[in-house]
Amino acid sequence: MTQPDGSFQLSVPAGSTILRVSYIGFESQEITLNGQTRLTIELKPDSRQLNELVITGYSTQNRKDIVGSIAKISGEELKNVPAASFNQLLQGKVTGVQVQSNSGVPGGGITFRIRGNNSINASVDPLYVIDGVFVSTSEPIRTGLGQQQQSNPLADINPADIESIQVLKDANATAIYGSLGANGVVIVTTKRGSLNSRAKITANVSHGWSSAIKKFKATTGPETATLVNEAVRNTAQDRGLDPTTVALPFPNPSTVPTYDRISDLFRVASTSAYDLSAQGGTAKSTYFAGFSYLKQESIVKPSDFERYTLRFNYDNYLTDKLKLGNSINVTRSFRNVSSNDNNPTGVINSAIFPRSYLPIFNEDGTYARSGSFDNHLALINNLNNQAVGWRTIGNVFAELHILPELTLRSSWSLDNTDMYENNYSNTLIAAGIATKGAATSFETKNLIFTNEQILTYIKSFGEKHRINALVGNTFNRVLNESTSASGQNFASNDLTAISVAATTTGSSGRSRATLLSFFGKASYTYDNRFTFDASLRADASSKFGADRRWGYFPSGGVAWNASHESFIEDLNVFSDLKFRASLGLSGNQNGIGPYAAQGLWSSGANYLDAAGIAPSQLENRQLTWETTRQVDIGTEFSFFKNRLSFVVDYYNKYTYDLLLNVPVPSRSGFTTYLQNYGAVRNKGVEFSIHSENFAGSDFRWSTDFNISFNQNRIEKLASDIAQGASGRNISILRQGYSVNSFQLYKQLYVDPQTGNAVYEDVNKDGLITSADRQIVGNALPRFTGGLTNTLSYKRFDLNVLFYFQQGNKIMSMHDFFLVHGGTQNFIGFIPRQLERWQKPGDVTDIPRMTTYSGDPTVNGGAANNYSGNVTNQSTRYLLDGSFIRLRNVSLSYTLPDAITRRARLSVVRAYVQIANLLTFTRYSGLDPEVNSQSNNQNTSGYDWATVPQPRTVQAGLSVTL
Amino acid sequence: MKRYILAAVLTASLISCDKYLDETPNNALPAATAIRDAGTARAAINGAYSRVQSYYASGYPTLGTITTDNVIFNGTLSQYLQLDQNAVTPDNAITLDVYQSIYRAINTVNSIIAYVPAINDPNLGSTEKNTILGEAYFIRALSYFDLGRAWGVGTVTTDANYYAGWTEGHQTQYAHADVRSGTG
Repeated sequence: MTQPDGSFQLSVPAGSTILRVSYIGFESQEITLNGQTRLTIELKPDSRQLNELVITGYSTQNRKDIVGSIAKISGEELKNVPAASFNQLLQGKVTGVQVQSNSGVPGGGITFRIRGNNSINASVDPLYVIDGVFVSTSEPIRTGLGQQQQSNPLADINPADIESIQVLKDANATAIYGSLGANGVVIVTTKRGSLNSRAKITANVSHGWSSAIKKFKATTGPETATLVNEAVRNTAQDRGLDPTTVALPFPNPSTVPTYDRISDLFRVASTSAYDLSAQGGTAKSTYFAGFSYLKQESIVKPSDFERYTLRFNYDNYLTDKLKLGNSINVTRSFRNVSSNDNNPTGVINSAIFPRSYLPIFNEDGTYARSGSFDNHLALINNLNNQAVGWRTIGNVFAELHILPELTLRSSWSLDNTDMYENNYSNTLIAAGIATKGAATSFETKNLIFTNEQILTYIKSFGEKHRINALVGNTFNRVLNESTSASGQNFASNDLTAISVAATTTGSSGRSRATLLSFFGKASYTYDNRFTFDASLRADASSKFGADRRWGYFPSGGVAWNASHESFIEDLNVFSDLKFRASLGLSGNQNGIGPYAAQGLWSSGANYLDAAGIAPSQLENRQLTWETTRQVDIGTEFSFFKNRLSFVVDYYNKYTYDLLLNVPVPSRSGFTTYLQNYGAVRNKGVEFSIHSENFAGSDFRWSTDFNISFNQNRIEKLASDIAQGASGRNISILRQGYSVNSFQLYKQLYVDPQTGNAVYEDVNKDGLITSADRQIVGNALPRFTGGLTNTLSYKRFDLNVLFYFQQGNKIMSMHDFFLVHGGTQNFIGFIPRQLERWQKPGDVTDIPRMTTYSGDPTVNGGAANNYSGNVTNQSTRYLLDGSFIRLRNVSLSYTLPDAITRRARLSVVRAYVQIANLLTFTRYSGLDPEVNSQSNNQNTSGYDWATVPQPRTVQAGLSVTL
Repeated sequence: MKRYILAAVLTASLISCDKYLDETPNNALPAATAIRDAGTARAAINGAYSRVQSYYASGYPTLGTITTDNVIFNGTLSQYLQLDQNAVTPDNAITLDVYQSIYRAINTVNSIIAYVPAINDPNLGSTEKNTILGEAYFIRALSYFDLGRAWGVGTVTTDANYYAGWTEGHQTQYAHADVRSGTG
């Protein structure tokens, strides 16, 4: 066996003449023996197979032997896009993965789906494993932000620390992660040193400027006044009165002033990032240490995000058989939190909703307010909401090589998030006026502890047989602890601690869930041509009913490397041809409460300060795993010595025994009952091409194109579940349709003669009633994809990434509220309202202004224009959200070696990158990539006073010693 | 020697650790033993009052006032708009919330009436026990009465099993019976 320093001892039979040395990833060598007793052999890396080692569920395998659908992204590809979190950087790079930013808030939440939404009430987030640590994706921030997900928990990892990311998509790859694997697995490996290498020190500095691509618009004072007058006149007409006798609220609209609130909202935001890392190794140990600082401002005042990370990865070979290692990441994050979206007293809402003729300040100089909105300047100047997070992700492992082919690994991991939030509302903003100051404070701890033992057996028998097997167990515990306090009535705006408030309340809670698992996997490859793979996993979760805690998840797959068959080799067409198929089950238990199966009476039903309890949850002893059965058939083939390669996959996922809050008759005293009932199907096709167009010495050009189609359908559901939009129930889940469907009244046209809107009468009873509300589209795209071009000429590199998605609809609550026809006394208008019908012959989709509410069932009657039975829930506000975006353009220049060597440096690279340079879309809102109500996975696709994503120009310098 | 250590490690990790899988919350009681002594009995009747408060605080009076012509609604929330314009849909959020809250109150008192008589706690004297039961009967009567006032017909449930299709007349009769039990 080879020592860590490379020396070896080999006994060869007498008379042998040729020594053949080979290793995965390196070119084999044959050395003729002429009686030498000392040999030095240096293997050259096999560039063609350099990326062929793939991490698949606990072991590493040669890419040729993989039967599952696994995509790999190297850390190098991630450094081209300026974003705080790595899962955001995967957008447009991997088939089957749909990544969407919920808003443009730095460090804000993102939507990440692998092959569609599997679940309705259980989580649809994938499992993230970072250096063997199962990390938490639960939201630690508890300050309400208008139903928008408050943060992206993965933003605590510095993307520059990442060596590679593997995305496991099909059952065979994810079944070994049984629990949580049903939604896919993202395995992140951070950088580690290598033995016997000198220290490589890298420093990165960059600075960026972001600005809004499009800004909100409002009608001017005179325009608003004209519209209001028109509404009053038309309403009188609808009531049968003579419109000329009605007193208009604005006798002279042209003299009405205009106050601009929107330009106060935006700023040119700056981003700064600093990075320092050291990587290297001695004969017996390797290390990687990294430190980073990032600060990102939001283009909408006043929020921002600041982060410090520290990483230390250290491996030590105690003996030649025992290796001890660790990976530790510590992050401290600071967020200035500002609520927008579905919060009437949020900053954006307070700037776009009040009527533009209303002054921003009262005559006495105090902040003016109207309706349920706040004053946007008061908020920008006085908001004081801090969220400070302290996160530790750490892993310690020991690896023992019992035999050359048998390795035992024991790993102990911790993911600990501590989030401290302090919010203070002084008497200058709406939240603090009534109570003379209001403060809330939250302390949240999310802790995940994991212990795993894995025994791996990797052996080749001769040339023809290769076995890769493992057995293991997992113990996983999730702990949540939370405390909150609130105080009201402060003596002064300068006193912000709850301890000095006159009235204080507090509460605390704690919950814990445990997971136990045993698993095994075996893979057999025959003659480098056929691979058979099987795995089985048994999991038990404390969340489930005492009768059915254990779930069993088997899977299997085959792969045929046809390119090694003689008849294919003779064709001389394919440099690589592989067919693979897999089938398996994976389980999900994430996202339901830790005591979901128990019958409970909860405390907190207090009356007049006396403690009370009341029934809160029905027992379900039969509650068990939500299971996904997935079939994947794929092929990988390439031509011209791998210069042109294709990967095509077809998958069909059927998720059954959904963990579903099934509605039950209210007379039981409960509204829902958590059961395993329901099924969702996701099926689709993924297609990706990689092409080395040009590979010269001076000029290189490669292209990557990927496109993924996914079709989602609810196959079984007990009854419709409608929710979203603050009780308007615009999002609906119905059997036979996909999740995230919208139900609205379908507007057919606006009658050019009367100016009233005409809707589709679904049940043909001649009336417009709630029965005519129908499913008119959904928020899921039909396909998504990316096109990346990488060019390099001498010392210049250019990287261009386009991202596109098609077919998703966006419910613009922005238009819903601000095109109200005069029915809202305290809300202004947007220019779209000016397109309203005014006289016979006008053709438009915005009906006549009126507040008349009589005869609400008449189709084509005045009431249903903006109120009536339709209540303004018309398809004219459901817009097409398809777009193509030039997501990133990155140009870099690497200084010539001659210059850098004189300065005793090894690489100096300067770069400029622009994010979101161009967007092609029909969507009239600010950003077609938007998800305002993201704290509920079933209310996707709303645009509601959300911070848009900015265009960012970033310049940086990277120096390596 | 190595082989024995290996076997021991594997066996240790394979031993059933079911006791790790029993987790209980610290802010809730198991339903089976929720009402078992004086403290929980008092807490349960407080909980019943809290349930009544939850529909009387806003929802129930709203149903009665916004639907009249003394009040008009001038906002954007469709659940209030529907009530104001007498165009109420089956999934109107206010209506659903009140209906569900009333039945939550009924469910709480059904459990009190079923389990409190069986409590054997020296701290719970018979006077207090009867007071609690009396209040429970009254709350049930009030809930059915309010249900009848708002909806006309409803379903009467006295325990986990429920009967279907009682008319308004029967409901009021039942409410009277409960009031009599409560005051007796």
